[in-house]
Amino acid sequence: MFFRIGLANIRRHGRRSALILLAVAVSVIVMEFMAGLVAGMRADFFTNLLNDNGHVRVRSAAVADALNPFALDLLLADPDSVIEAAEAHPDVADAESILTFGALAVAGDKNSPMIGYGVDLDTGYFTDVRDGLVAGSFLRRPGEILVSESTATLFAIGLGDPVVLLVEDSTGAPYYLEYTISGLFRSKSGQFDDTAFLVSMNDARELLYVENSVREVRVRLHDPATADTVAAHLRSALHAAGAPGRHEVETWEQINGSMVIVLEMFDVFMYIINVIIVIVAATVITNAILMNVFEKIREFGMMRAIGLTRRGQFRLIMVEGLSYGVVGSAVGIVFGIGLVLYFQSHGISVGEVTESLGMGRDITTAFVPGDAIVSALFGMLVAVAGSLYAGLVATRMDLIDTLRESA
Amino acid sequence: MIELTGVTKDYALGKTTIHALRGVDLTIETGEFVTVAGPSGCGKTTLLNIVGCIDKPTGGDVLFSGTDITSLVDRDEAKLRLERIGFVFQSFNLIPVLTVLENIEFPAVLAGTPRAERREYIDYLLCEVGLREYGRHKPDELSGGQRQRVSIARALVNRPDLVIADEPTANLDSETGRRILDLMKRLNTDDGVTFLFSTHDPEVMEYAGRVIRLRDGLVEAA
Repeated sequence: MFFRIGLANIRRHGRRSALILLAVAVSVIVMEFMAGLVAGMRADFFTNLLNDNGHVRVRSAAVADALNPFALDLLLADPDSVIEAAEAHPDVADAESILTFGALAVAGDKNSPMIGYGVDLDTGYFTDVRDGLVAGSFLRRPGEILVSESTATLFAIGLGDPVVLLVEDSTGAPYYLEYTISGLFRSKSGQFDDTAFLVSMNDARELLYVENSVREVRVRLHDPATADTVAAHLRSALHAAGAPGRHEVETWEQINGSMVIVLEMFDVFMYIINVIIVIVAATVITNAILMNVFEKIREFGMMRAIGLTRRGQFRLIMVEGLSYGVVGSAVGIVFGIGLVLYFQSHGISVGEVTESLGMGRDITTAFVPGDAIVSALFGMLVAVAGSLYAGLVATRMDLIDTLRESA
Repeated sequence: MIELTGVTKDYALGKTTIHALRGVDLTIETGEFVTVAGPSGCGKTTLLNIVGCIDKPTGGDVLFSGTDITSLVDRDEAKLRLERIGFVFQSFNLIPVLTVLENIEFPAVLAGTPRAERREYIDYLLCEVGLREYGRHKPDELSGGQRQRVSIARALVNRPDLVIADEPTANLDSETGRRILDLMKRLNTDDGVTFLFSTHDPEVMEYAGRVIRLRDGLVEAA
């Protein structure tokens, strides 16, 4: 019967109930959305960014201090031994070579300096490019090149059109080769699209006149948490192979240090936002519930006169508060999850802000059931906390005083 | 059943002390139909509140079936009100979100009476007060007289020793008020329910088996 009275009183108070329910629902929506946002950023980072850049990277030790990171004297001459050493570790899922270089791309009467990526035809990286193909196909054979949709528009070219790549090869001489566009892509990063193209590893080596060399070896792990262990293993293996100090082995935390800090900052930021939400919502809810309770103080007095104890009165108030919490949280979580799912598929475009952080042009949210449960529970907790205060204040009144209150 | 000895009640009103009761002595026996009468401000409601464990006296003793109720703690007072006293208020004081049946049932739910048992008795009470067809109605769908009859049925649901009614007909027209008093009188006569009610209306006093007249906090005649 107490629940019946609680739910019926919610209907009875009309506008004030709507205000309380709105406060609970909005707090749940914001909490759920923020949680989805941070989860999405983490998912983007860990699954996309890390998967595509690898969890451990091996490159020439001289790159760190070099003025020109694309200089051809900074390549790894022995990638096969690095890959062999990496794949010997049980935590390694795979290891692959990437040859990054600078080139001038020429098409018709237009040209632009760009960054080329020489990759294996069956590369497991660049999934963002593969998933972002808008025309044609990924590299299938030597002689093909993959450019972005924006680059194609800039150059006024399309599928099947030739692109000439002009480089300074390993001998220092200018050299060029022509490639045919096999596909156009639109990745999540506008910056990447404007500056990058992909060719096969063999084509890149031929163009640059570097026999077996690569810019870096990217290593993907079964569990990113084992990166330090694998990196240590690689350093010692490469040292033992008689190449001390020639290689730089970095984990994803070292490579993406600023991004990790940004994610940690977002965690703190989300925590602060949640605290503010709880305080504001609790204030609104407590005030409204207090008004509800004191409007009914004479009614409570009557109930106590016919035998309701102080504890029973407290329980009635708490049940009403919990009812607000349950209903408000239910509404809030439905809208909150809807919001998260919408932006999970549509993304939030914030342009250069996220581009500069390496997160691409859009942020996507991610739905995590645990976060939804926590957000809903928080909404209920806020309503219950507001009722707790109102209940303590109301039940302290003497019975005779409650009956004297005008209706 | 009820025995008051030297009961006083003082209220602080700013810097002034109001002596609502100045030493009341009276007894009420089981089965009586007693009214406390007097002008406004004479202490009627204060007296009823003290007898009903809603308020505590400043001095004196109040025995309810031999138990000193002035020294009871809050929880025991609530238990006494729930199990042994029924209240009928001047302004009915029904729970607006509950139906007639649920309003009557409320004290029985608090007392932990099994559902089947309480529903059977509530059916009987609804018949007694003439509201059998109104069980599913809400209080705001009833007239003043009907609401007061619901209030009486609620006061009786836990089969109390005593029903206290504070000016039960004050908010009713005279015809409806007479019907309510007839109902109370019938319950007293047929079922032996003890009634203690207050009034300042001479016509209402005529229904009482005994009239206790209060003036300025003292009993004039018992």
